Amino acid sequence: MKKIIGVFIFIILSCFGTIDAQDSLLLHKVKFRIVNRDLSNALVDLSKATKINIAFNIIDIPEKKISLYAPNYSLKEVLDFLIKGTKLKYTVLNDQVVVFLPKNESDKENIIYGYITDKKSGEKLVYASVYLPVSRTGTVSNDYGFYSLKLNNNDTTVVFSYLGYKSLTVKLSDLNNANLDVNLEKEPDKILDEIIITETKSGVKKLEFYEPEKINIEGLEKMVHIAGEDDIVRYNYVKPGVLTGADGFGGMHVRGGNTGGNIMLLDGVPVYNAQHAIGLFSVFNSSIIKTAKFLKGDFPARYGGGLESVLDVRTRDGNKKKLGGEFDVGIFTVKGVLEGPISDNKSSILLSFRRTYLDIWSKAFSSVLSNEIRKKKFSYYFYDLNMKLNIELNKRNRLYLNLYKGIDNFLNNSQEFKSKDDDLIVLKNDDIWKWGNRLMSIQLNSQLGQKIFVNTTIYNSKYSLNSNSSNISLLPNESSKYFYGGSLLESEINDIGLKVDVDYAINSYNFLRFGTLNIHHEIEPFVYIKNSIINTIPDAPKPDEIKSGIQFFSSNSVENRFYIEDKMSLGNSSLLNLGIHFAVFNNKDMKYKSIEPRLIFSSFLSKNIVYSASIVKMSQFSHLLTNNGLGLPSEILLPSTKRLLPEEVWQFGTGINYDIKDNMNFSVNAYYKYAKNLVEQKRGSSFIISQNSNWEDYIPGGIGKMYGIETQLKYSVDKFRLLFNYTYSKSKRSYKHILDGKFLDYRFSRTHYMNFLLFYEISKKTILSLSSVYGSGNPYTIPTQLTPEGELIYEEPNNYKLPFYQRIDVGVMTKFNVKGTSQELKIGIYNLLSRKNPFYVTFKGTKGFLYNTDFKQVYVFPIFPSVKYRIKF
Amino acid sequence: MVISISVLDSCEVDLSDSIRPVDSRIWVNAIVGVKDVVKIYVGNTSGVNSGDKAEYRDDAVVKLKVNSGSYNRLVYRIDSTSANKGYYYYGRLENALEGDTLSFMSWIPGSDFDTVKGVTYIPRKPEISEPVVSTSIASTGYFMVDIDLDIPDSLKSSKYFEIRLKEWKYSDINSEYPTIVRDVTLLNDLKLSYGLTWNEKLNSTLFDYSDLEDSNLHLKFKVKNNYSGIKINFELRAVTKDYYDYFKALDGGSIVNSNIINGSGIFAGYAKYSKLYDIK
Repeated sequence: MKKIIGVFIFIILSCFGTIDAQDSLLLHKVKFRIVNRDLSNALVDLSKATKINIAFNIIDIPEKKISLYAPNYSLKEVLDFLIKGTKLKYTVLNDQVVVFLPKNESDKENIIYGYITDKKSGEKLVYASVYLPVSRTGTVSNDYGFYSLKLNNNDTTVVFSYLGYKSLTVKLSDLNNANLDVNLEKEPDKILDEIIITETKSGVKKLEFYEPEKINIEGLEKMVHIAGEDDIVRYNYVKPGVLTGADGFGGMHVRGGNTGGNIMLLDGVPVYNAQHAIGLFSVFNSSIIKTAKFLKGDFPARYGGGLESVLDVRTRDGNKKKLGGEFDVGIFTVKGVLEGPISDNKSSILLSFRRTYLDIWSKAFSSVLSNEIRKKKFSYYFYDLNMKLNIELNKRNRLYLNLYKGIDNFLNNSQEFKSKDDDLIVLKNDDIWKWGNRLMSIQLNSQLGQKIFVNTTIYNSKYSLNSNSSNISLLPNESSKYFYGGSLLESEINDIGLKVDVDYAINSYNFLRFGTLNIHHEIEPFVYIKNSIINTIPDAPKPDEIKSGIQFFSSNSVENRFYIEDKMSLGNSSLLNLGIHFAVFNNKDMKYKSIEPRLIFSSFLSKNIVYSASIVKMSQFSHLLTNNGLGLPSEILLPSTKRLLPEEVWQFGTGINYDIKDNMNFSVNAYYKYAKNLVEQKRGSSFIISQNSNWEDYIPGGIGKMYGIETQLKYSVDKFRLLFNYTYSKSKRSYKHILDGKFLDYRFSRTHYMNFLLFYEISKKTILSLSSVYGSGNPYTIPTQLTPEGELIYEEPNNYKLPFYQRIDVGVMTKFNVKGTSQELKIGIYNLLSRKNPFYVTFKGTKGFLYNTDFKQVYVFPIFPSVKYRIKF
Repeated sequence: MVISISVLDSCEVDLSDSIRPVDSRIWVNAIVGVKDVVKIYVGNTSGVNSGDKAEYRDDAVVKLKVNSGSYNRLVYRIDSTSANKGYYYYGRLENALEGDTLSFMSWIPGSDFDTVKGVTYIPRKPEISEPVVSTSIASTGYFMVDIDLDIPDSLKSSKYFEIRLKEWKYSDINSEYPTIVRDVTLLNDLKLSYGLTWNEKLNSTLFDYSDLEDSNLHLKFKVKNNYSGIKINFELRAVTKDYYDYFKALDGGSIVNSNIINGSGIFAGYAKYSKLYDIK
């Protein structure tokens, strides 16, 4: 009862604000000086200086640094100065000053929520920072531009910021309700600002702390890319720990992992084989990318199904305010985008296409390459089509419809004759490959109250591959018999999935995410590889003949995944993301389960140093089978079966990120991975995947150990921006059938790898870029002995190191505006020094010798200039 | 244009980094069968950058012993049909018998090659009931031949087997590419397993008894219609593990599991069941 009365009295007193209960106490003259002191300590100092008791609850006092020189002020004036800008009040009670937070301010749960959008286009801004500078907490907008943030008692302002946009500060006292939708304005064309280095303003630095995996899209277009084509996957090769296969081909290998372990998502839908032109380009059209995240170790629980990395690409919604577009032409590709509002500036549509015209070039090349004894025909092209429809159903619900289709088509025929006057064919090659993806999805974003955001997605992801290759050569010393080596590969994957993801901003210290993913997989791989001796070229097996006698292997399975993760702020300086991911895979023959803990921790050790650590387990129920190590589209995706166990990896990581100065940052990260059931196809002259073949015998599982140290230095000064990465890494595999399980170097590993990136702002509109890559040679398998019968003996896989890889690229990009359009010209040179970087090794030579000159190193890209022009309207 | 051409065609250079030299070795191909003529091939490999040419050697000393008996030297004889090869015709040693352990050694006098050695044994002869054979017209100019055979449980202990098909000619014992036989399919209870894939270069297939789903094997192949009739030799061999591992690996182009100590190649034994079929 007494307590209630006491509280009641306190409330009455509070309602009157500052009360002059004893004026003389507050009029007391004070001689007081503090320099950069915390408010709580300043109050203690003031109490000591005046010998007047100043009482307060430390929880109510915000963290605020104060400097004050008061030679002869009253206590009231000093107190007013100290609490200025906070919600604190003070009163005099019983000869003491009580500093307090008014009760209605301390008890009410204040939340702000809403969407962050681009002021000009209405585009939702993803991973934008929302920061409370007083309480030093914050959040970021989610994948759909929505945020929700609980305010603390002392917060008076909130800051919204996003790279390339002007920050916006909003006074909380100006708000009438909790819904705060914000429009951010783009900075005038600042060509170099924050390409690589984020200036250490507190808000932006906090963004990195919360979402370190966000990719800087603005930097993507300023680099020199092969054939001038910006590509988000190739852009990742600037990051430490990320390698290509062989000279840009062969997929992405992250921290010594297999390219099949990368999860590639386009607006949340998985893409199987996201490569065009065997890895030179990806399926992600850079003109329509809004944002992207790349994770290579710290996988929060919401991701699953791949061991090595996650690339989560989100496309733009389309301009809701006005019709616009762009057109882009380079030496290999042409692309265009058209976007605009549908009705009432609430809905929009975005269409894009991209196509190479390499097939036009290649017809010309073919005739040049042909001569009297050799006929050559070569053709390649790919195209992508994207469509995104974005409909605002009402203030709380938004619907998206996404479509993507892409195709690659490759043809290569060559015939070599014995001589000019002899029409006997001595060599015949035929390759016909066609592959592609089709994605469809419907997504519903629903905002349930102030704190909960739900995304529901239904999707279909389909990948198909058809490849037919044959190589026929006249046998030596035989005038009429031929060696035939052929392969027929077909793969069809059809997924139907249902995803529900829930974001729940419990408070400013806890952000909960949970959800489920349910996929029905239909996988039909077919592989037929054969070598044989034939009497005449027409005797070579035809695809229809091969397929007619074989029953295709087919797998129908269901994969269910559930996850829950909580991102917790521990005080103002630490983040802990704790989660669990649970997966079940089953078909008519078997069931597999996987429980995957995820723990990610980061903390400010000091103002400039962040420490991070993570322990994650990942699993995948599909296996990418490569049979040549070159990343060619002959890669086949296989499901787990009774004998082909799911792949798993445990990854441990730790690191330090250090802001040496405001314009210089250094980071070092170490990792260790242990993987099981990694597949590797046994080499063989024949291999068949069909219903009736025990093909699993041919794909034994193995163990992988990968570890390394990644370092990165970022530096900016005046008009220069510099990025330097160095990685030391090892990646090893062990298979029981190879040398009794001896650990051997993985084919796509490089012990030392470094890259260097420099941008220089020539003018406000023109930028020069220079990049350099160095990597120690890949392991490669070469024969060590030749028998008198002409057989090559390979005694150990990956027993040779190819020559080192090195490349320098330069480029210049300039932007200009003409009659309401924004235009851009890029000129670049890829591989400026024309170094003949090794792609693979062939063996040629006289029978009986195995000299150095018998080995030839094949390279693909010598010096390669490019030009690209873009116009936006 | 010029640059792009170099991208597409003949983009090869000598391997600039030197490849570490690997010494040549004595190479042996010694497959010894019960009641077959014992022929052993000896040569030397060409190691990477060794400077040696891979060739058959007629100057090697080759010795063989059975069980705990003494080593006997083999005689070199040139095959009349193939001047490039040498083989050693076993003249004074008794034919090796089932269960016998064979030991082998060889060296090349006056050379730096290490003496090579090997040990193997002769497996038990596969005892099977005579396969059932049927023929039909496949297409113009070709017969389809069906051979049905049983692999009884009693052969389980032998474990590794090879099936061979060859056109049989009196004068053509070592036909290098016996391609008279085509489109071989080998079915075991309607399962075509990797282990039963036909090797068209050797005209044979190797399999492990444990690969079989049941005891029945069904062999089907085409032969060219020679109107005067042709003879096809069918062989079922029980082979040693070394034999199986070596030829499997060689077929796969991967790691070759040589059992020759200080050398390369294979020293292995086999025992066979064979049957000659007249196809008309």
